[in-house]
Amino acid sequence: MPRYETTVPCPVCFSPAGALATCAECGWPLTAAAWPGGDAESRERHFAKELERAQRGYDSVAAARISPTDGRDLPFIRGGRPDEAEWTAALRRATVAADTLDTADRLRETIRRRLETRPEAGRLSVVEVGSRGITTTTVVSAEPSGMRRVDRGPVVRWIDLAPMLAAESPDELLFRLAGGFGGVDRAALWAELERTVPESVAIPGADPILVCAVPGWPVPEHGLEVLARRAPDAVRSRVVDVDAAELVGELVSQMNTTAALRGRLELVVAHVVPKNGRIVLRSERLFEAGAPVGAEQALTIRCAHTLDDGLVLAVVSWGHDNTRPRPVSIDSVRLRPGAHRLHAVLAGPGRVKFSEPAGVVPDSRVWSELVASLPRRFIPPVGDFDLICALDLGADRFDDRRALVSELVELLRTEYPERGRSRVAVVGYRAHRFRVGEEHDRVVYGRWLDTPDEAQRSLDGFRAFEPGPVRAAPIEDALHVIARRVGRIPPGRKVVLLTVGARPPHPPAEEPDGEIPCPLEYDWRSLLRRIRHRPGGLTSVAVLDSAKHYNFAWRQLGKTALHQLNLTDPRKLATAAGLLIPPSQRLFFPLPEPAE
Amino acid sequence: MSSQTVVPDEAESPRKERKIGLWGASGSGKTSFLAALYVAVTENTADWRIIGDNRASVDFLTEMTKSMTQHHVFPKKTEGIQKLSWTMVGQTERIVGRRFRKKKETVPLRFRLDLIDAQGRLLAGMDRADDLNLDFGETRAMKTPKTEADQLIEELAACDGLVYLFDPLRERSDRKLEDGDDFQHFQWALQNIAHICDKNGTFDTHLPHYLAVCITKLDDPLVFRTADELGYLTADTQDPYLFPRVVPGRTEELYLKLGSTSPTRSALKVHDSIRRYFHEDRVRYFATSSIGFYVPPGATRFRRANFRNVVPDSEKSTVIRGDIHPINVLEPLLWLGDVVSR
Repeated sequence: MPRYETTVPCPVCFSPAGALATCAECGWPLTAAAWPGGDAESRERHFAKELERAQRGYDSVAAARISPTDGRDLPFIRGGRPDEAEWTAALRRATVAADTLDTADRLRETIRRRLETRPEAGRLSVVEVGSRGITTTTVVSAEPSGMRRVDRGPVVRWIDLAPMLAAESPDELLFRLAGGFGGVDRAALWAELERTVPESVAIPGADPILVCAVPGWPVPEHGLEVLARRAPDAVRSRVVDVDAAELVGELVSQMNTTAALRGRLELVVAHVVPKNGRIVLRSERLFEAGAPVGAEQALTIRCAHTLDDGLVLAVVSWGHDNTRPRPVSIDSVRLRPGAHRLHAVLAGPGRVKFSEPAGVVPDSRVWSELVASLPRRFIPPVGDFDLICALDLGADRFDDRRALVSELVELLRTEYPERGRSRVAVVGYRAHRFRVGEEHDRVVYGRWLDTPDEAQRSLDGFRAFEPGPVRAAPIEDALHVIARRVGRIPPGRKVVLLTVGARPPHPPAEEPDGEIPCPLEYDWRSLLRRIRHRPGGLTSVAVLDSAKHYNFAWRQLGKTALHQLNLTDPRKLATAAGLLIPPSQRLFFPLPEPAE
Repeated sequence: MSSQTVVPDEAESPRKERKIGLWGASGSGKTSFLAALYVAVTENTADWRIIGDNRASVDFLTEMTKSMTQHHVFPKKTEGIQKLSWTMVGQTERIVGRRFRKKKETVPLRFRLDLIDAQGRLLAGMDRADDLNLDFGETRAMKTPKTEADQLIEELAACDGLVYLFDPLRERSDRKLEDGDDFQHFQWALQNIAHICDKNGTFDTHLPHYLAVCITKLDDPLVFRTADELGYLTADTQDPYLFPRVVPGRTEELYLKLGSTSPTRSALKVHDSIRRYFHEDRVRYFATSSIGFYVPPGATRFRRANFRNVVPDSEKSTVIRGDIHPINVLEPLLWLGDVVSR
């Protein structure tokens, strides 16, 4: 039964019948006058037999379009398998006149001509109407490099364009596309295609090439007609057994290889604005316009950070207006931080191959994504550094504090395994005892700058003690020990002071807050100032057990960052101290390295 | 220490023996004050000696002094009433001669100190708190057994001079919640003393007693800072450690200042009562400290940066950090001893 019946269609070809005496398309008599004589039963038998023959003949043509060899056996042919004469007739009717067909070579030549005559920055779309649906392949000219790029669009399926074509199997769908409409109202189908094809098929650029890959198939041919009306100046081609998108790809690749470089190619590098540390992208010249294929170029770049996804080697060309770079290729390579020599070879117009360093591979990230994820400011790479850990040995949460420091030391040892890259000092402090003869007892223990392994051993040797009722801790004594030694650290090394504790330092003198002054009258403020003013500066990070003793002293000790013990972890601490650069802040473009 | 112009009465007779009572709220430092007395006498530049009049007084002074100087802990709170008696032996200057032949002369001075150290709660009348039989004058006259508080009041009333200890930090601590405020304590004792004196006929317009009001705990940072910010501190050049002292004549102002900043301001009400019940010229204010200021090992002078001599030993207890150097502990007694001996 027809699905969208407005008027009674022809029972053979499903074209709209109207009031005609015979079908305009297939010639089937549509009135009773065509079946005179005999009794009603014999007339009816005769009608049924003739109708079945006509339907078989009509459907056999569609089957012959699908396959001249196997189509005869398709189960969708009404009236059953055609006999030899019928099949021969169907094959004849299914044949498309050879003079209306293109060959693959002719189509390739057509596309080549169009590409070569296109305006410099134009686009050419090749729209292929096939048995699967409609596919648009666009060739984009990346001028002035001379390189062309092929953008292959998705297949717009027939079933999406005309849901009424829905069939129980792919073969049945093909049968319907090839002209065995299977009861689909032809008028409704054409109307649906008129509406959906322009909506669903985008044709970038002007004057496309329209290719029908299944010549003679009514539905695809009608789709092509709809497209042709939309682009009246389009070139139309009907070819058999040609994948137009593949053909375009091969052709463009071939043209890219042989064409001359029309514009300069440059490598994207990052520049750091000295004033504010902001990162701006610039480009370093690789190849000038006119450079022959095979030209070579060497330059030195610097990789700033260790990158999990590798350093991006993006080659760009510049448009006529010289305002926006156009990405030509994006590769990446895993490099250690430092200077590296880059050797580029012009493998073709717009095709740059990096022969050095080894390991350059194509990168799947797209240009816009890379630009969007570029960090705003440059964080200098971590050089050699010394970590000084002042640790409260008070029993309340001592294990947590020690574990945090220990894990931090281990993290840094893993991140920077080079010998001498990092040194660690651990300075544990107990509590002052304000009893006669005990006030000057030793309260600071530990080990000065040594390897991370030695620092771990010292940490393991620390023992907790009962802190007592005094609300302050001898942080100032620890600072005194540190201040006496910090001056010996070479200025070139970064120094991080990490204070992990529960209680604030003793004031140097009686203060309104009521804390007992340090018995040795050490002034934590002046000691911290002295440490901070070392040549090379100081990064001071603090971790406080809880907000109970949060005060000015802790704000100063944690001037760079102040964390709470149960809310931090080694990685956060290392990041806050500038000893670990988070992945999102790592510079993945190379920095230019001045020529020697 | 000298008694300045007071001419001592050298005639030793029972009639002239005087009693001085120690008065103060619970925890105001009465026991510590007494315990510091021996050290105060020893450290005093004037030539004074203290002699226990009985075994209890000797033992008390010995034990308390040992507790504070050797064990560096404060004496335990007094339980009940301790009657202690010492004889102070020393010298003072007197002015002799007539109008145009006046001259200063050093003469020996000897007087007795009968000090009554009582549990602070007794002084607040709190031993009657759970006694449902209300105490009226008539019932007392009916030979009802005397309570410890009654005895204490009678002892205080019989004194010639009183030392009233005012702890400026007491109202800022939690102790007031269990022991009542200063004014409650003072007013109860004062009314009872006045009642007894009135019965004895010694109350004319005012009480007959001399009163030394001692602001204790000058070594505490809060008291010290208050006096320092007001500019009331000075140092005695005769003092080898140059410990700070409150400028003479400014102590009453310091008392008022500390009282005005306390939460209940009961000290101001106490001050009003003192003015109302005591002769103005029989009251003198002293800023004292039983343990004095801390002197770090090796230091020879008081250090403003590091003077706290009381440090926490646990969450609830404190200890004495170093040696004790009593400030103005002896002076109120000598003043009272002097004036009541006239």
